Order: sequence, then C-alpha cells, then structure tokens
Amino acid sequence: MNPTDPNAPLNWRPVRHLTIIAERLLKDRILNHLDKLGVSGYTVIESEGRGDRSFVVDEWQGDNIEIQVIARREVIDAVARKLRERYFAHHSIILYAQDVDVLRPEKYGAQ
Amino acid sequence: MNPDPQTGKLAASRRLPQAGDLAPHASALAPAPSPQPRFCFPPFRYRHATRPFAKPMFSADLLAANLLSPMVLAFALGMVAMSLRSDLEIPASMHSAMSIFLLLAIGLKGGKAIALSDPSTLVIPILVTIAAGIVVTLLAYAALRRLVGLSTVDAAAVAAHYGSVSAVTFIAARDVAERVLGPTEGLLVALVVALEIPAIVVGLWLGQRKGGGRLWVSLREVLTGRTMMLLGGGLLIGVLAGPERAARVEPLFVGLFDGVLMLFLLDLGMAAARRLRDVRRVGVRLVAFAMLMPVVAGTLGVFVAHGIGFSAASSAVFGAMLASASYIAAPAAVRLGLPEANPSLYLTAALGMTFPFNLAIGIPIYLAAARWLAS
Repeated sequence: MNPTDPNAPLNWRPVRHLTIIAERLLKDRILNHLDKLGVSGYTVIESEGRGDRSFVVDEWQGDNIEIQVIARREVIDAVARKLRERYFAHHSIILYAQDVDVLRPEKYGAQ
Repeated sequence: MNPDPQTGKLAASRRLPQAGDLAPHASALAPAPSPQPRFCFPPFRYRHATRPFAKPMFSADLLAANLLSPMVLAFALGMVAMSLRSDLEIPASMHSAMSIFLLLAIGLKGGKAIALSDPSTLVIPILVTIAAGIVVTLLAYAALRRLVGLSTVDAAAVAAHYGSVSAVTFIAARDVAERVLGPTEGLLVALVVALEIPAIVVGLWLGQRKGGGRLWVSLREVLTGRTMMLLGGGLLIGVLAGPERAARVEPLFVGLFDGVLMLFLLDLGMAAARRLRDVRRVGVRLVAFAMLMPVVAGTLGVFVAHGIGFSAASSAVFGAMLASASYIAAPAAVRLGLPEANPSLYLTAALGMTFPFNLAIGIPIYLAAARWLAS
C-alpha cells in the first residue's frame, strides 16, 4: 500500500482511547505508570475545572492535567487497574475510555 | 536558652548588632528608644499619647511600618478583588515565574552574605533551627490532637505545615525588620532552607507511623522540589560566585525584587481569599489554632534567636520564620505522603488564615518582642 496514493483504501483499525483527568501533583507518577505499562505515547494538556473534591493543592502550576492515551484494549485495562489501585481512594482523578479507530495501528501497539 | 561562652564568642566574632546599636539603624519610623522601654499589649494602648510614635513598644509605628508597605497593601488588594468577584486573574505560568524569581533572588542574597562570613559560625544556628522546627511540629501536633480534636493523620498533616516555613512570610518579615530594627543576618536564608525539611519529615512520620511506608518517596519530593532547588541552589551560587561576581546579576535580582514581590503578594492575596471560602468547613477550633500557634511559635523563635546571640532584627525574622506555615513545599509533600489527610484543613489554615495573620499582626508582635528583649 502506497500512503501517498490518494485513492488507496482507508484501513481503519479499532483501538481504545483513555482520558485521564487528575490533579497536577500526580502528573509525573501517572506518566511513569504509562511508560512502565508499555504505552507508546500520550498527550498532556493543562486543564482546570471542578469536581466533587474541589480543591487544588498546587494551584501555581495549573489546576489539573488531562492525559490522552491511545493503545490496545489490554494495555488500557492495565493502566486503568493500576490507577484505580493507587489513586482512586484519596486523589482527584477521573478516567473514561472509548473505542476509536485509527489508521496506523502499529503506532499504538496494535495490529 | 542562656548564651554560653561559646555562643558569646560567636556573637562577638560575627559582630552582631547589639542593643546599643539599634539607634543608628533606626529609621524615621523607629524613633530613639525611651529611657524605660516597655512591652505592652494591646497594641493601641498608648494611642492617646501626645507623641504616638515616641515609645518603642508594640504600637502604631510597628503596625504602620508593616501594614502600610506596598506589598502588604497589594495582598489586601488581592483579597478584596477576590471577595468582590473581580475578573482579575494572574496566570499560573506567571505565578510560577515569579516564585522562581523570588526564591532564586533570596537564595542569591543569602549566599552572598554567607560568602563574607566564617562558615563555622553557621553550625550552631543551623542545629538550633532544625531542633526548633521539630519542637514546633510536635507542639502543633499535640495541640491539634488534644485541643482541636483532629484525627492522627489530619493533625500530622497540619503540624507538618506549621513546623515548616513560608518563604514569603520570611521576606515580608525581613523587609519590615530591616526598615525598623536594622540590618539582618545573611545566614537567615540558610536557616530557611534548614527549617523547611525537618517538620515535613516529622509530620509524615507522625502520620505514617501506623500505616504505609511512603516517607522516603515524599521526602524525595521535598528535597527535589522547587523551593529547595531554587533557595538552596541560589544560596550555593551566591556562595560560589561571591559578592563581586554576583554583582553582575543584581540589576535583575535586587533592583526588581520589591516590585515582583508586590505582584506576587497580589496573587497570593487572591489565593488566600479563595482558601478562606472553606473556613466554615474547617471549624472554629482550627481557626483559633491558626491564629494562636503563630504567636506561640513566633515568640519561642524570638527568644531562641536572642539566646544564640542574634540581633533584634534577626531575632524578629527568626520568630516570623517559626511562626509561619509552609504553603508551597509542605502541601505537595503531604498530599503525596499522607493522601488520606483532608487538604482543605491544611491549605485553609496555612494559606487562608496563618499567612494573612502573620503578614498583618504576627510580624509586628515578633518585632516588638525582639525589640523588648534587646532593650
């Protein structure tokens, strides 16, 4: 398949997209978990907002961070388990996932 | 703490300003001491006197020198703006930049002063500071457990903040003390660095005794955190570069310092007002603690500093250091080390109540205590 051919068929493949919104303080820890669990890439966005805990410990660096991860279902599940185990009890953190289709699955560790 | 022969020698070798030296440093705000200086509360007891600024006691001169500084007024403006729901907002990135500037500038200034002094004179003050930080943390913990009635973990979390130090309270106190009582020691900056850590270690230990072992993880957070890096790093740069080479960066770090500090306090006023909204949730006993603990710790600090031969101005600043509660390094370390503690307790108490209290009322009290001790 030649990627420069405008008429080549689009080969959409299903993967999972996980969004993590967490307090700023957890950023380095979460990214460390992602690296260890075999996530190949992610996007970090500074964000602010309000939740049921509604406090910010380190407001001088921005309130929250949003981390976007695309990976295989098993990897996303492993990440979700790890974050649930570590941070759900006492920290501000939200996870949600959805199925998405991508064009180059090998970039995300899928086929 | 009586000065022993060793500390007496220490004081002499560093030529600390003595009580008799006060007059030459005193500005127009601080008139010459009266023949029988007295220490008195409440603050305005002598307001009716024909010359209200005539007596060196806890009176209008100290309050005015403190409250009418542009920095404190900017802090008040920030609080007012937030309570009026103004759209005024200082971006988080600018706040980070200003805190980097201020911490590095304080470090540099202290390092420059230490470069001129004998390193052996640092040992006793640093050991005393560490001991004082631990004592204040334990005192705060006992008060929070017994009198405020917090749980072990919450009490340990709040105590870690009160034993640690707020760099901005330190700057504000030094600013007023230098205008009213004369020059302060450069080594005080080294003491700020020394005071930052012990309380957090003790607080985390108190809170984690029964539970997990995250002490070292959160300790790493403090040691590699921005306060330690910038304050400690600035100190080291100042010492290594020495006064002559450091002079090249002074237009930025000395010339602009007061202006940046004013902007920073404007922002801090808004942050404090935001925290203050939670005050009803924390309970009246914690509010009382947030106002009384600084006075107890501050007075203790002034006496200890006087005992090891500090000048009146430096003693007052040391008192303010012990009285202050950390709100940059400690919250991050405690949040990670004691995640089950309730953050609104320690943030509201440290930033919403104790910081404004020290800025407005606490610092004049420590100045008055130091001046009274020295006279």
